[in-house]
Amino acid sequence: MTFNFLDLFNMFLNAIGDIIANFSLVRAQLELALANINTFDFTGIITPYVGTIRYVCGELIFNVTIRTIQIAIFIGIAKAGYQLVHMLTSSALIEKPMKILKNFIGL
Amino acid sequence: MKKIKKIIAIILIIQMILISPLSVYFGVKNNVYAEPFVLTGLSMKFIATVCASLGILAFITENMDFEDFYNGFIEFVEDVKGVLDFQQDLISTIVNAIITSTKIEILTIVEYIKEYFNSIVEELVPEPDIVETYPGVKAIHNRNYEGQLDLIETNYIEVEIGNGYVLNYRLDYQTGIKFKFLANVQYNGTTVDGYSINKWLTDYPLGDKRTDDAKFMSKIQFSDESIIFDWILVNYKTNQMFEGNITEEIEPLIGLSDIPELSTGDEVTIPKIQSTPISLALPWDLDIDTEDVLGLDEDSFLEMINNESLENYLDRLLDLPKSVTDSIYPPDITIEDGEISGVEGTTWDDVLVEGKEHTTLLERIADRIDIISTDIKKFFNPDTTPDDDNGIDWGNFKNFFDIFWIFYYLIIIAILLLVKFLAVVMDILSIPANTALFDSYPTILQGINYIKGLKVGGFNITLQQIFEYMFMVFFFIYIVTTLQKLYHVFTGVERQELRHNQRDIQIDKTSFSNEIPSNIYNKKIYDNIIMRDPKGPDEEYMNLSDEEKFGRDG
Repeated sequence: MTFNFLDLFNMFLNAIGDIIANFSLVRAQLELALANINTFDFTGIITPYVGTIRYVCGELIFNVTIRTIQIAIFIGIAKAGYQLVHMLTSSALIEKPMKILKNFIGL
Repeated sequence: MKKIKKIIAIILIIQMILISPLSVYFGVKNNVYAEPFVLTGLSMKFIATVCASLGILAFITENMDFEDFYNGFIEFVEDVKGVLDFQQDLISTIVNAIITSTKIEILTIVEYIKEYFNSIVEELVPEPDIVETYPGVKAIHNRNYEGQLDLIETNYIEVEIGNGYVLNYRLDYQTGIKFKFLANVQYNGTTVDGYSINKWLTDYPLGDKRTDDAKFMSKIQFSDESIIFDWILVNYKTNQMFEGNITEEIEPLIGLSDIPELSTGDEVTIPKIQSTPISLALPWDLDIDTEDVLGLDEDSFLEMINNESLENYLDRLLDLPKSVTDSIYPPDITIEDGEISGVEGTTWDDVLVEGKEHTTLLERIADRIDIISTDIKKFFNPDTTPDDDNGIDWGNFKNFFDIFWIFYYLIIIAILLLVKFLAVVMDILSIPANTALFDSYPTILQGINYIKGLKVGGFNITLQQIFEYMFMVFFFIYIVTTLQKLYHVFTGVERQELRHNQRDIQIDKTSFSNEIPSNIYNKKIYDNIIMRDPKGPDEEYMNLSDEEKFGRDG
């Protein structure tokens, strides 16, 4: 089978076109996923499992454990947030925008 | 190229900062992440509908002047046209307005119009008669007066009986003591002998109360046999009520017996609006839920709306004030071309006059609504569609920029998942204990219940409680250990090293005389230990020679 150059180029463009056309498909799927995540009842799914654990281990142990986990997650988030802010403010990339922003608000 | 990259990055960052977290935080449940520039037609329809609702509502709540209302509405529409670039921000508000608020606004409008027309009808409907109409009566006249007593009208009032007979009656207050009732019957302008009445209203002493504000109601009834005058007087100042009756027997007159009696059916009363239900059976909702709207693109959303007939919905909305005003008239009265039918008797002349005025008012309302309706329809279906059919056909290439949206959505999804995870973690304590997983395995549940309730022999304590106490003990140990570690980290001293030093010092203090280091290496260690004593080096010891320190082997 032989192809001339224009045919090859055409095939190449068609392939690119197909790929690009799929971008919008992927995008639509992601939009759908986004909407689904928004409306999905995550708590409802874990209710039987967590409820059973709570039943078996008892209120005291469950409450203490969950509160500890919550506090640990909160501390973790706070630390991560602090590090993120620190990274951002000390980054060379952000230096110029920060300067512009500071000038803008008059600091 | 670098600049372009920076600009794109800044735009993306600003979008992320401004849109995503705020949207997630405020629980925006719509396709706010959808492409912002293609919803022109749909948004226009939404905005126009809201405009219609809000415009009418504004009219209801603020403006009774139709010109102001109309101009305000047009200005509002113009304002909204000006900010259409921010459709994405408006769309959630609009969707909610369409789905939930519009119905409330419609009901508010209906209530207002009911109230407004009730007030009109209250003007139209006369006070109820103070007494019922007696049988055989051929002429009636009611009188209502409200105001200062000495300003009451004292001229004769003529009541047409028929066949040339006229009943004249009046009130007069004489010598400032009492009211006097005067009446006579005239035939062709001449008073008929024996048909003249001149009596005091004995039940009400006027005295010094002639300037009091009061209400005086009376009803005079003429029959072949009697003239009956019933009256009620309410003094608003003293809050007293008086009533009385003057009856004068008369002989039948020639020519009066031919006149037919008044029937009670001639007394038309207009029922109030409260008794006239307004039909709101029309489906005012689009029957769509916010959840259903999520994730739809413009085409499918429009298809859905078309199925539910948005246009019909809008027509109903625009027709609402008109249909309400049409339906508030009582069923036995019709108004066509400014004429009221269904009302009989000369008693209702004033009703006719006022009715015509109100009909004009209604026509003006209807005209204004028609104008608004036309404008909104133009708004929906503009003659020129903006930029849709012009420009270059980019084919699939226009989808190329979707790749940016893909990255954008991935980031948003990651943020959203994190937020949802945190929401679940915070919400987890609200999940009640249940045995859902043991529904199919009741024997396991029985076993668990048995173990939980099992009491340890000799102690009044269950196995469950023992586990809980053990857990708490270990938990507190864990907490204390963690705090200890944190403290050491804070003070900068390695815990292991500290313990080691303390042990060495202990050894030194307890076995100094027995275990003497036997070489220079031991000596150095020993010096080191002494130097690192938290109490400081022992000066006396440091001044000793090595021989003195370590004996013969030194």
